[in-house]
Parts: sequence; structure tokens; C-alpha cells
Amino acid sequence: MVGAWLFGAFVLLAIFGPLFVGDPLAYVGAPHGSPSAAHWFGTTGQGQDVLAQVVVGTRVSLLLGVLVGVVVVSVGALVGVSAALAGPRGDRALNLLINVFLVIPGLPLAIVLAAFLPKSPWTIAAVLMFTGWAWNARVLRAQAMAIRDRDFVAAAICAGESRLGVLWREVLPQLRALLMAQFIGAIIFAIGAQVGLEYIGVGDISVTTWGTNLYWAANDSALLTGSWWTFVPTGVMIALLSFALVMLNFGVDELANPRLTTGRIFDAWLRTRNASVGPDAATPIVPLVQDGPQEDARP
Amino acid sequence: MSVLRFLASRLGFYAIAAFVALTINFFLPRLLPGDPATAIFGRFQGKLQPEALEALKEAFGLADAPLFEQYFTYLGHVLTGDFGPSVSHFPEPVSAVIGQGLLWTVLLVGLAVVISFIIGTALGVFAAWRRGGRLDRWLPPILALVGAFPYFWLAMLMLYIFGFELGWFPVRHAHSDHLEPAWTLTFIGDVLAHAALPALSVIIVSLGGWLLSMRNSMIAVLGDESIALARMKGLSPRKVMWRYAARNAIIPNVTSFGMALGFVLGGSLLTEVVFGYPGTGYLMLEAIQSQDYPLMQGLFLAITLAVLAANFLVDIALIFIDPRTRIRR
Amino acid sequence: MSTKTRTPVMAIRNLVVDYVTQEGPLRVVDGVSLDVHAGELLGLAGESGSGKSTLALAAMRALGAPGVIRGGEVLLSGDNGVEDLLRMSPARLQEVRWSDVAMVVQSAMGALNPVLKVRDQIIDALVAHGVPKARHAPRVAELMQSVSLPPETADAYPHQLSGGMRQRVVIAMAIALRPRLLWMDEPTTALDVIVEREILELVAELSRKEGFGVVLITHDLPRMLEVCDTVAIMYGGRLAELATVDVIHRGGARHPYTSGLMAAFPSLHGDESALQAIPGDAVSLRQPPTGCRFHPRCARAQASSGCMDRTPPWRQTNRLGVACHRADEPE
Repeated sequence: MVGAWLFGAFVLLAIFGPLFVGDPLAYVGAPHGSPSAAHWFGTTGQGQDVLAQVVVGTRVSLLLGVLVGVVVVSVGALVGVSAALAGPRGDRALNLLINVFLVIPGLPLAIVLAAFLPKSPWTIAAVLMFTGWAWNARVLRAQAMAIRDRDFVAAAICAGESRLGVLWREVLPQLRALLMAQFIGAIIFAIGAQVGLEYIGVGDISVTTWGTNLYWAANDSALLTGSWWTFVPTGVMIALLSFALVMLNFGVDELANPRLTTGRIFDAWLRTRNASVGPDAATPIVPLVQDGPQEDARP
Repeated sequence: MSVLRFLASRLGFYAIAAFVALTINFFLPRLLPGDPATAIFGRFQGKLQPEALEALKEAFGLADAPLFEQYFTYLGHVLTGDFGPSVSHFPEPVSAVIGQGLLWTVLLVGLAVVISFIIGTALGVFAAWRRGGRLDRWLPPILALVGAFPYFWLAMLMLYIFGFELGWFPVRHAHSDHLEPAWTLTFIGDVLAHAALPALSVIIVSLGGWLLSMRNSMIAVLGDESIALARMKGLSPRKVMWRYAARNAIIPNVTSFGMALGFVLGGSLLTEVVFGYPGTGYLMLEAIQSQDYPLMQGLFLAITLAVLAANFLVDIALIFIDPRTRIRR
Repeated sequence: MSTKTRTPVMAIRNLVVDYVTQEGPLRVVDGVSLDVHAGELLGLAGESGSGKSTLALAAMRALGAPGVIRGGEVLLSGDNGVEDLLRMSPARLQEVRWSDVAMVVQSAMGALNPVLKVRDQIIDALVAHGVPKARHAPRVAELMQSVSLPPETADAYPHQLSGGMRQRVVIAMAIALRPRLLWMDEPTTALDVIVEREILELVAELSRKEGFGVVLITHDLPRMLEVCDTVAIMYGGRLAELATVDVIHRGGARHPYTSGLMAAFPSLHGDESALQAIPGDAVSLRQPPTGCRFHPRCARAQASSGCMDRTPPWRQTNRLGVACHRADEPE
């Protein structure tokens, strides 16, 4: 719940926030000015307003994160589920592809790719789409295989339904919760990676994003000059957004995994009766007399 | 026998992965839209020695030979460890520039990742064992919050607080400038002091991931009949926890340890940048700043090969942990 | 039967087990009482959801979340006289389980620890119960022999064994400390018919030789009638009937559900013509029918006998019994 509200706040900030702050690149005050009434978050080493940069940066970073998230999960689902339904030979080829992309370290590849390509946030997005899908494909392949082997899907295949039909009607609905969780995870990955790539300097440093904010903070010797306000707000925003998404994911996990809820209900029920499961995990004993009449009315 | 077969099949896989990385590396500069290679090349003309220009020309595919011939020349060079000369460190070859950086990265990241994996896994075991207990309720959300910060940002914050403000740790480099590398206690101590803060920042951020995945796989194993049986057999809770539950729950985690290594390493490269730690990450920054493309490509390959090698070590560890890799039916 | 007069090795009295759900506790086992004697093979049958596996796990105090025991006794008679397993200290429970009462669980693959050799898994049980080290290797060898496995099986990992061999290993592990009672919870579901038969015959033979009582839970009624002495039938969390196999073979089942179950399986001796399914659906534990839980599906149910509104009492005759309002009335 907290996660959903917080994420909603970020979306609103990304859409409307830039209307309320000034030009993030304008020279508005003395460089490295600490937070004040005029500049709540202080000014950068270039004399720009940090608050404006953080707010404007939200727009590009969030948009890019969501975009990369959608593509990465879609590609992952396409490759992973195809592998699961493709038959042994196709599966072997696709699985090899997935594993190769998994084992080649993504960030160094992304850095080199981005360095060669024209500098822009869209380059970063494209590069992250290319390097980021394999993990999703791996997880979705495993899950789709488990579903494929269940009786009702096997029955649908035997009944002569086409592969596409099976995929659409039987497999995808089962994957919905997992896809949602993966999407959320992919946004976190995309934002973190984007910020990292821009920080190391392969992004377009004239565009205001969270990543370029941190690039400039480092470039203007934020640490040496002690101007912590140039990098702390952006970092906190990234962390808050990621945290909101992580919390959202915990919620999705609970929906997808009823066992988690069952365990929680069981523990709470035992606690109200002063019982618990001991370290030997022996079945707890709660004599009937402890309960009120409404509970035992059931025969 | 089947141990060898297992290792051979893994080696085959790494060979394919390495080959794919090499091929991407080769085609990178040749597939660029609008021929920016020539543009970049043009920028260097007149500023560099002719030999360096020649190296760039080869790296960018501006050489006159047909593509497939270039490809085989390139493969031959790479296989002999020849990545060409570095543009920014000319005339030093790329391989020499990378060599030392890789050593520092392996030291820093190796240390941090192994410590983080061990602590995170152990915490995951305890959290799952006392499910809903204090550890289980507080640690995962706290670590999720900490893990939500970008690696390098947390590094910046820690460097600012503990390095610049409090002065507890050295703020740059892998060792003090006045010390010559040697196997002396002073030098080793100095190296560890320099590695402590960057390593700590990597450990803190990556801990949560290991904890959560071990916790989840442990919870799954704890639901198995083998655990119910072990308990009924009268085994002590400690024995059930470690010998029957954790011992099995760690297997999928060790497998994903190899896979996650590349990811953690990527984050650690940026940490190096923050701390000015002279590893491959810092070299990468230098390469980007001076547009030293041969060095960048060499770094990418070196890091990839290092990750593949680390994965092979993980496979060897798996042989000891999981008898199913050791003995087929 | 000669077992009539002796104290049973295990006597379950009025066991009540709930599953805690979002809507509150759900009664899964509702006041079941059952005796098992030394050397006796008791079959426990019933549809899935009848509570038979829950009963077994609860009686071992091995039922996991969200199961909770709400009352009753599980009386074990051993060297210390009669003790209630549900009121033991954790330390005593740890001692008693496996040395006095052991269990063979459903899936032999899932029951074994994949990273330990068979030998080590058996020895773990021996160590936990204080068997001196010098006895370990000979005991493992003996056990392998008792379950007709070659001695080198002990040095294999579970994944190297076939399903039948694994089940034998699990049985060997269960009898490692010479228990007085062995629970077998659908031990053969994953096995083919021939292996199933071999395993059940092995257990019957071991029980005769070593004198332990067995409670065999299975779906396979005909096979159960082949190996067991007594049969307990559960329906909707309650015991419906307890009868000897002889009586049932002679067509003497007194509960309409028992007769129904019998008619639903092909007889082992041909005569497949009369196969009949029991009409209606299995009982819903969320909203169990009032009165006799079987009445909505029962051809003999009759309002004037109280089938619809009164829980049928347990009518005991000698060791056997039935819970049916109309058991003593003529058809």
C-alpha cells in the first residue's frame, strides 16, 4: 500500500513537477551554495538550483525506467516462454542464448555500447533493453516450463490447441503475477543502471536526469568542497522510488503466493491464543476450551 | 568420470559465451549508424602518433581488408592477448594497462562479494528458520531500503562521511603513494585500509539480495517432506537447520551467485570510480574521458573473461556441494 | 483375533484437528479414536479430504502449518508404561518419535535429503537416539538386508536409486530403531503396480517378523484388503467404520459408505461388471452437512432415524464398530 502511494506520488511529480520549478540549467546563484530559503536544496557547482534539477530529472529517469522495464520484460517473456514451448531443440538454442547474455556482465557491455553510440537518454534506454532481458527470460522460462507440465496444459496440447493458443489461453494468465513482479524489478534495474551509465559519463550530460545530476556533482568535486546537497537529494529520490517499487513487489508477491498469507494468519491466530510453534516444529496444541462459543459452533 | 563431463560441458558453454563477447566486441564499432567511427577518428588525427592512429583504425574497422579477414586477424590478436595499443596510455599496450587494474578489481570485488554472500546467506538461514521473528521482520525491509540506493551513490555518501568528514579512512587509491608494493605487513595493512570503505559499501548494498534469496529458498526447502522426516527422526533443530535445510537451500543460491556476479561487479566498477580505486572501473572512466576505445573494449573483454572464470570456480564449488553434479545415475 | 485382550501399542482417543484459515479454524479431523496392536496391519481408507493423512501427521505431531491439534490423546505404550504423545515435553517427544513410533511419508524422493548418502541419513537417526557408534555400520547392513537391497545401496545418493529402491530405503530408515508402530502415509502412490505390491508385501512380512503394528493409509482399497487385518474407513473427518478384512470380504460392511467404496473398486478376483461410483460430491469441510455427514450421498438415509440432524454415535462391538444410525436396521 505504502509502495503504491509513493510510486503514484513519483508519477505525479514526473508529470507536473517540472511546471513548478525553474529552468534546471539556469545560473541562479553562487556555485556550491548550501540550502537556503531561496534554494531549498542549495545550488550546484555551476550555480544551478538543485531542487529544480532533482524534479526535472525525475521525469526522464522515471519515463526511461518504465519504458525499459516494459521492453525488457516483454522480450524476456517472449524468449523465455518460447523456449518453454518450443520443443527440446528450440529450447536448447534459446536457453543457450539466455545463459550467454546472463553470464556476459551487463554493465560493462552497456558502457562500451553507449560509448560508441550517439549520446542521448534514448541510447541508454536502447542499450539497457539489449543487455537487460536475460534474467527475466530465465525466470519466465522456468515458470512457463512448470506450467507447461501441468495436467491442464498438457491436456490442451493433446486436444490439438495450437502452440500460440496454449500460450495465450493457458500459460500467460498463469504468469500474470510473475510478470508484474518482473516488471517492477525491471524498472528498478533500469533506473539504477541508467543512473550508473550517466554517472560514469556515457550519457548526454546536457540533459537533466538523476544520472547526470550525480555526474555533475562528482565532476564539480562535491565531496572535496563538502557540498553534500548536490548529490544527496538525487540519491534519496532514487532510493525512495526503488524502495516504493520493492514494497509494491512485496505486495504483488503476497497476491501471487497465498502461502505467505496463510502462514501469517496461522501465526496471528496462534499468538492470540498464547501458542506458538517451537523450534522442533511440533504441531501446536490449542485445546478447544480456550475459544469462545462462536468458533466452536461449527460441528 | 561424470565430474569431467560436467566440467567439460561448462567449459564448452564458457567458450561459447566468450566467443559471443568477442564477436560483439568486434562488430561494435563497425555497425555504428552514420559512420561516427570516421568522425571520432577524425578528431584524433594530428593529435596522436601514427602508430596509435593505426591501432584506432584497426579497432574501428577502417582498415582496408575485407570484413571477414579483419575478423580473423582480430580473433588471432585477442587469442594471443594482444588488444592493441592504448590511445591514452600510448605506447603501452591495452593488455598491460588492464593487467594491474584487473588485479585490484579482483581483490576488491572478490573480497566484498564473498564476504557479502557469506553474511547474507547466513542471515537468510536464520531469518527463514525463525520466520516472522525479529530478524525476519526487520532485516529484509531495512536491507531492501539500503539496497535501493545505487551502489556508487552509497559509496559517495560513505566516502563523504567516513572519509572526508570524519577522516577514519583513506579517501583515494588502493594504497598510500609513499609505499612501494611489497609483501610486508605495513603494505598489506595499508592496502586493506584502502579497500575497507569501498568493500564495505559494496557489501552493504548487496547483502539484502543474498539474504532474501537464501531466505526464500530456505523457506521452500523447510516445507519439504525431508525436513518433516528429519524432525521426526529426532534430529536436533540445529542439525535439521544446517545439515538438512541450509545444505540444500544453498544449492540454487550458489548457482545464481555465478549469474549475479556480473551484476554485482558492474555496480562495483562504479564504486571504484567514486573511490578513485585503480581497478578496471576506474580505468573504464579514464578510457571514456579520453575516448580510448581500444582500452574500453579491452576492459569489457577482460571483465567478461574474469566473470566467466569466476563462474567456472562456482561450478567447481557446486561439485562439492551437490552430489547430483558429481554422480549421474 | 488374538489381539483383542492386549493393550494396544497406540490408542488414539478423540483426536480433533483444525486447519486455521482466513475464515477461522476448519475441522479436519473430528473426534477420531483408533487402536493399533502389535503386529497388526490396520488399513486406513477414505476419499481425499477425509482427513486420513492429517490424522497420521497430527498423531506424530508432525502436521505443519496451518494445522493445529485441538484435543484428544495419542496414547503410546512402551517401556515407560502408557504415555500421551500430545502431552510430552519436547525432549521426550524427540526421544519417542522414531524409537517407538516412526513414519513412512508419501514421496520417497521428497523424503530423502538429496545431498547425503543413504547411510548417513540412517546413521543420523541412530546418532540422535544414542545408538553407539560401533553399532552403526552393522545396523545399516542389517537394514539393507531386511528391505532386500544390496548392501552397496547404503553408499548411494538418493538420486542414483529407482523409485522402488528409494521407498525401500525410506522403510529401512523408518524401522532403524525397531519402532512398535509404523505409520505409512500412501507409501506407494508414485510407484507402479508391481513395485507397489512388492513394497506392501515387504512391510507385511517385516511387521510379522519384527512384531510392529502398521497403519497403512492408501487409496488403493483392494490392495489394502489384500495385506491388512483390519480396515478403518474415514468420511468427512470422522471414523465411519472399523471392520476386519474377513468381515468386509464376506460382505459384512455395516456402513453404507464402506459398502459404496467396496462397490467402487474392481474386485481382485474378476467380476468387474458391478462397478458403481458413489453418487454426489465429497463432503465440504467448510460447510459440512448436519447429522451424519454422509447422508446427502446415502441411499439409506432416512429422516426418522435421525440421519439428517443427529451425529451418529459410535457403536462398538468387541474391537470393531460403526457410526451409522441405521447400522442395526434391516435393509
